Amino acid sequence: MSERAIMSGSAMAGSAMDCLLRIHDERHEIEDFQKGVPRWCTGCGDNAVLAAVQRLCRDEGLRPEKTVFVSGIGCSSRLPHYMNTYGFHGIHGRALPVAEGIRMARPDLHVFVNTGDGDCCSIGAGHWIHAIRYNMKMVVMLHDNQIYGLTKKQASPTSPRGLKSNTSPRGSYLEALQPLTVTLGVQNVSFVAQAADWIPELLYDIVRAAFHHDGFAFIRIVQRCPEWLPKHLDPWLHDPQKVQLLHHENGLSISPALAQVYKNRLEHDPSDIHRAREIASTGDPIPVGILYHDPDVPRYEDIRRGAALRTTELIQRGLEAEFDKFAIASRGDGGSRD
Amino acid sequence: MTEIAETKGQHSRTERPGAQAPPRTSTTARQAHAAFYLAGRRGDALPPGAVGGLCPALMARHRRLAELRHDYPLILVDQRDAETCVISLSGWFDAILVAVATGEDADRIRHHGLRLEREIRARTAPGTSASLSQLWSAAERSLCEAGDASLADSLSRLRAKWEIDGLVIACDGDAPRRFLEHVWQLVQRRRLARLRARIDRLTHGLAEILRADEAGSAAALQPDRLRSSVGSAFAAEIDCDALARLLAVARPVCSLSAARRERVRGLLEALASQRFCGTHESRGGCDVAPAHEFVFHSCSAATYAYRERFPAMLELAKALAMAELEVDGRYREETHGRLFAAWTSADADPEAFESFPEYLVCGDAERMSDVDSVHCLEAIASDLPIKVLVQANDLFEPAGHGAALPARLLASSALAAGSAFVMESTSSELYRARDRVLRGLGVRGPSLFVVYSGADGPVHSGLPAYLAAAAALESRAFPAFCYDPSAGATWAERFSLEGNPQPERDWPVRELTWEDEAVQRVADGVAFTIADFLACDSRYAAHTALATGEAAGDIVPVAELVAAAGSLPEQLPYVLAVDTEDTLHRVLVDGRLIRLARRGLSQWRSLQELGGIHNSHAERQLALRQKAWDEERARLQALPRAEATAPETAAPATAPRSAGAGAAAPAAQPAAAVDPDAARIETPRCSTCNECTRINDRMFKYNENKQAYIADADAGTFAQLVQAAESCQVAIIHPGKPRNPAEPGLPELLERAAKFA
Repeated sequence: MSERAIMSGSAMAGSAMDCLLRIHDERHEIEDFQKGVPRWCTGCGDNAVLAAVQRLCRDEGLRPEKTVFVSGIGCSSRLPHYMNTYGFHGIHGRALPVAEGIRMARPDLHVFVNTGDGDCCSIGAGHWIHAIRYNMKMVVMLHDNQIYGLTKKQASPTSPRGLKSNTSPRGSYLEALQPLTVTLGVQNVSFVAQAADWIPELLYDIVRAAFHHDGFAFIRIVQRCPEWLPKHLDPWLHDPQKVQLLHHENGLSISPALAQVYKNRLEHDPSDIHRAREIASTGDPIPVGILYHDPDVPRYEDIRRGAALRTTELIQRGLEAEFDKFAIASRGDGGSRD
Repeated sequence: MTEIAETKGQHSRTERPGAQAPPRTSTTARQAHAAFYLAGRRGDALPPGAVGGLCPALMARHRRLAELRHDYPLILVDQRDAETCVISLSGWFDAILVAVATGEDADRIRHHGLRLEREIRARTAPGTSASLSQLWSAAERSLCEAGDASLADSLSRLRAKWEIDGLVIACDGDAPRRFLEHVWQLVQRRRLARLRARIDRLTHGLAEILRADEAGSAAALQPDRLRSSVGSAFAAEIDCDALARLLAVARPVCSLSAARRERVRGLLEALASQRFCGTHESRGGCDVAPAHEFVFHSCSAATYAYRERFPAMLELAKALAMAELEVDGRYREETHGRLFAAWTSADADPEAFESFPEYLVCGDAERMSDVDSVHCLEAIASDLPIKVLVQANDLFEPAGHGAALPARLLASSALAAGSAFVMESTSSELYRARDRVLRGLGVRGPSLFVVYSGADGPVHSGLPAYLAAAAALESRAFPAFCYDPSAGATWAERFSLEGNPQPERDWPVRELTWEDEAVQRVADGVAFTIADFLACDSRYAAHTALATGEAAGDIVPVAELVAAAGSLPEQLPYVLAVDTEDTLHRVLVDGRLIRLARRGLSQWRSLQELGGIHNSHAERQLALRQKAWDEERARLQALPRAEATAPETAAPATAPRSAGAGAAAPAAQPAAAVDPDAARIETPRCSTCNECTRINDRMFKYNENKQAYIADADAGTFAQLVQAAESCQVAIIHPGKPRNPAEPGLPELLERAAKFA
């Protein structure tokens, strides 16, 4: 095979790639990331999370074929069905290991994980701890409505003490597990934030900050369940003083309009993990913002990157190399056919 | 990894069944589309259009109607008040089951009761006629054949609660006539009962006058008459001969004058010979003067009969007036004699005819000639006590060149009279509209009822009559309205669009759910148009084609095309229909159906304006006031702050900021002024929970960030705004003030809205 023949083959492939790139460079609207009609109850906080991630995909110019949403089991875990991207609706508690596998095999994909308080903090708690420690790049959204909604109102690990449910008719006996303090207590933690679904502006900002974090970005989203706990979060919903917004020059900034409504604000440096743990341990007022951010924690995929990356670009390059073995050189170019 | 996003899903339209990536439409295909749209001609680019067995997609779930509990069959109950003379079989069974199905056996009795209802429903086929008792007995026999003791026990306990009987009717071509006749008869019976009671009372009073006069006559004092008066019990104690001699001397000398006696006898004869209401004897079968017939098949016959009988009616009214005076002893020959001698219709008090019978005309629109239509409108425009039912059985006869809407034109034309009760409806809506029917039959004067029966449904579209009628109502092909001049002085009080689905919209939009090729559940809002109604009519098959292959490319829902102007569209219009295999198809329709849909929409918009919805005069006035208000506000804002204070709002900004890019929150900035009376949403705080958009997705829409805003405050009611504000999880909807001052229940709504000011 002559050198020229190889060049010719590459040129053909290049023109095809140009075409593909031109398609991919087209701007996507929010509708391009929508799929189906959500089956969530009307008023469910999951809708706000869905809207936030769809906005993010549009604003960040993500390509649908380069984005994947992974989930486990629960109401929140239906979210991948409504994203017109790749999706993996996995098994209960195993959203994080699946996402880690994707991350290892396809580092070119943007990985998002949607998990619920049961999926993450109960059956998937072991995976959760180790996923924090592995610090692989992904955005993990914990939809914490403090109840099992899909199975119609059973107590979850984050249900507050005294909450009556079908499995705790006399009220939950134990103190609730605090996802923020647990996460902040694990080695290699690199990004922890808390959002509330009824403040969509901050929810979006936090998801975007998490997306830009180069590691395991964990967001606990305090979320309403209008069906099974319809009044549970009303005090926080209707009294802005019971929500404390965290802001800092290295964290989030609060818009003037939002500042008019939410006057309870706290300046917090996200690099201070001890202060972050103190804030995380307060349940009332609810802190909303970035609690902790350390961009220098090493990522597992950088330490143990696989030998062969299975990205589409590498596969295409390999295929072209195989095809070139059978390419025919042009007449008169000094190739072997002459 | 499983790929969930298998379809592109760029737009909801591309998610419709069978949708592939829209192919580039070639010139040939465009020409074929134009030929089909303009002339109904199909080339090779379009498949044959004779598609049988299709059903409008939104009706498909109800196609097997016999298995569903719905309004029909109806029981026309005998011997009941007019208000409760028609009941639904399902509703009646529900009421019985609530009373009987209690205690430990409740589930069993309910189960058996519903089986019995199903059996009765199955036996009530269109065109049949049987009473409830007959149907019950037959159904009970059939169910108990197997010898199930518990079933027999349940049915016997249900039977113990059974208190009514009457004809059971299915929704068929006779249903509107039977329904209206039945209600009319009960109203008529109530009216005639009053007349009968008055005649009886006066007859008795007049007879008493003659009897008293006769009791004082010489003949009545003869010994034999006295003896028969005394009777046998005291025959031995009383000497009737002596008594007769005594009374002959002592009897009073006063007696009726001959003239009065003759007058009273004449009145009695007049009351006895009247033929406007049956006598008590006539019920026993021995009366000599049967009552008149008051049910006719044409307006001309009814008006002729009325005018022919009018002199007799006038005489009866005169006799009643004279009899009242006679019985009360107030008749004065010198005064009343002259008055009644010159008695004409002008002398009769209109209230004197209140209790006289009314005339009912039942006819089919298809059989009415032009002359019949004119007679009908004349009757409606008159003051005659006439109730007219015009039943339409076929709304879109193709031979009528698309203009065959005589029934609907009739009702709309009758509105011009202004003084007659006019109601238009379909047989599917009739049961729910029974209050309006009763009101129309109860008013004195002419009333017109125009009802579409749906009888052509089974013949032309394969739909049961009930569904065909419902489809006509749903598609605005035959909208419901009611004009009741007795309800008030203004159109807002008199005219109502009650009964129409989503009256504020051009077409009702329902959610349709289906399974796509990837076996995924897909749901979308689908408008139901006149083209949907007609596309499944076999007579219009030549104007339709299945969208397959290349034809599935550039197409657009009919509702979108009808709303746009232009004669030759870029894309072919289609409707959704389901075949007998429950497969969803897109059916292309040609220009003729679009023209019919546009005409129907125009007529519907006229009705909307009459009903106060999107009223152009009101909207124009509103725009003028709004402009003046805006100018005044701008003027005030231009003044120094000391002189004027413009209202401020706390509407947050929408622009997102990058994380980590800002400093501490700055102080609040003054925001733009807002109209406190206008409805608004704090859009940036919307959590996309779908509460408001599910209430009214034309009024509330999502912006580019999927956050709600008020797209059109006139696209719904103030009640919807208040409901949305109450439902909003984050309480960011402010309903403002109502835009329609005639909306019902405003005081209560304003009270509820005050919390969200």
